[in-house]
Amino acid sequence: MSRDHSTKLGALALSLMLGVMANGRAAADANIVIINLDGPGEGFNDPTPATPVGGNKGKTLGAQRLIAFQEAAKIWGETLDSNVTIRIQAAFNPLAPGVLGSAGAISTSRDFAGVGKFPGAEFADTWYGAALANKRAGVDLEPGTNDINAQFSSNFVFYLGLNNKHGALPDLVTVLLHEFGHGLNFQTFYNRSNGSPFQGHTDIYARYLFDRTFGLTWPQMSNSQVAFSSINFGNLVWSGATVTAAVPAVLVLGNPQVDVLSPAAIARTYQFGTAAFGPPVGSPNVTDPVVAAQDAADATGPATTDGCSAFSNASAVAGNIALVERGSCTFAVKARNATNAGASAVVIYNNAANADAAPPGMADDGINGQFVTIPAVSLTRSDGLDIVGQLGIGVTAALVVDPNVRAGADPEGRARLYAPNPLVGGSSVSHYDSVATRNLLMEPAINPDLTHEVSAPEDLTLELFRDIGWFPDSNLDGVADQ
Amino acid sequence: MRQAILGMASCALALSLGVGAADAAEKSVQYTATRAIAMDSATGKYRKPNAAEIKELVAELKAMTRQPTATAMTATAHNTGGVTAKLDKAFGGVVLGRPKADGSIETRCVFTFEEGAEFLGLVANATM
Repeated sequence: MSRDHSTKLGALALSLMLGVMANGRAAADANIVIINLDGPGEGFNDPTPATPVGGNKGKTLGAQRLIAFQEAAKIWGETLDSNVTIRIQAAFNPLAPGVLGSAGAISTSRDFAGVGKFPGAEFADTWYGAALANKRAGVDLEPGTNDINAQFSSNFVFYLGLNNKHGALPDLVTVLLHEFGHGLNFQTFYNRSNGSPFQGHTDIYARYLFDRTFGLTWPQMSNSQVAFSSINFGNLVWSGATVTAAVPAVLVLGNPQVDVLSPAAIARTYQFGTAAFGPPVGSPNVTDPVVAAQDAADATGPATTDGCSAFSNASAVAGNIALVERGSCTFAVKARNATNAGASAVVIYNNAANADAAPPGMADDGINGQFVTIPAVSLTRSDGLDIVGQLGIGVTAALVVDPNVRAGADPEGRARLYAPNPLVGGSSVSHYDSVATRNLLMEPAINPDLTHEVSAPEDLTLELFRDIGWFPDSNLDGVADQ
Repeated sequence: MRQAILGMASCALALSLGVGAADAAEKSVQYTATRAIAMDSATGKYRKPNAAEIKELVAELKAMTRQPTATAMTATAHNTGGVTAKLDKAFGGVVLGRPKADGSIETRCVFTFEEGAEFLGLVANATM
């Protein structure tokens, strides 16, 4: 049995009375409804007593879950305009270990007209997610169907407070803002592994995906070009004007990058992962020769390249960038050993077991990270072996921050999308790049320092929504506000 | 005509054999857990998932990260014209979580099985 739970902020008259908000935008209003799909005694209906937390006054686990959903819906409802109710069907289910939840649009529409003054689809032959399509049509194109599907794990303990003081737990409201964002069309419907557009038609998000290598947007590319573009690290950017205009207010100057400067055969900018320990890239800038670390093959690590023991060639490593292979011990142990050897930085490349993986984000092990005083980055195995292959000639690398480029943008100031190269499968182009600083809501990692803000100067999600057609319409007449 | 029919039948047979071989290859891939991501209800601590949990996780991740190039259901003739296609719960973002050394949870949203498996520490052991 399902129940409607309205989260409508207020009537249109109230919106008009509120007038211009403190940030200069006209008051917005979209009615976002959570459709409870859970059965009695489960999920949203779980009767387990709960103590109110962080402004969430629910007295049962189920009630607190629903209030958290309603809070995320309210935030988006206050941000976007639509005269069509946005319906999110949701449930809590016992999902597999590690899976917290999922969400997405239920349907897509294309080539739809608008009623009255509503504009309809801006572009022909282009898919729009259900909620955005309805907004632009001015009518529910699928009256009997909900717009967004969401399910979350009843096995997992989220922070259910509304004040974002989540401590060690993931903040459910933030997670929902992110996932609802995908459902509201912060996503493409291309198959990223083979580059095929859904049912042969592009989508409104893809229209703004610009590949700097090809100088083309996704609709202009062949399937093979799209497949390449989806893993073209650092070169897939958002071409929409609203996001680009807001980038200077949101992203800080100083783009971290890892470059091999010589020899020419491997000289380029490399995709890299960062560490949760040690100073960030650029603190300080490092430009030095690369030396492969050697250590004993012992109980701590069976290879002489894994850096799990004190380096046997510390004198050669000192003052240079240490190159270490992943595996057998934690990233932090390797970086600590590199620090102890006097390296200026450490580069850890994937081992054979992770041959097809993207450079990992390197978590601290809780013990050794505090002793790391040098920048640490990770590389793909392929890139690491490229460097290994040239060490006999001599390799010079740079771990630096480009002060003229914003972190998470390209040199032209366009926001980067997440396009790592895992070598197999597709990748999450439906996210901003993880190098963005400040952290953004729609990065792949739902970072613990995120706020519940969805627009500049704290975020860039609303700006992307403006680009794809969520125009401001405070009186819901179908005509964009000036 | 008979040759055309035989040709089509041969093609269909070849395709089915190809698909069957691909299915067999995929099913032969076993996964090993390398990270402690399952909460043990008895101890309250994270441990590596067992075989049944790995199987469930792989199946769930694959289902959630489907990116079909087409779905069966397409409707037309809205009041305003246009075409709608149901996504059959495909193309969704999947939120994953894994514990960190300090006890906090690192979360990641993924759209592909490979990303999800890498984040959760599932390593494939192909047998063919």
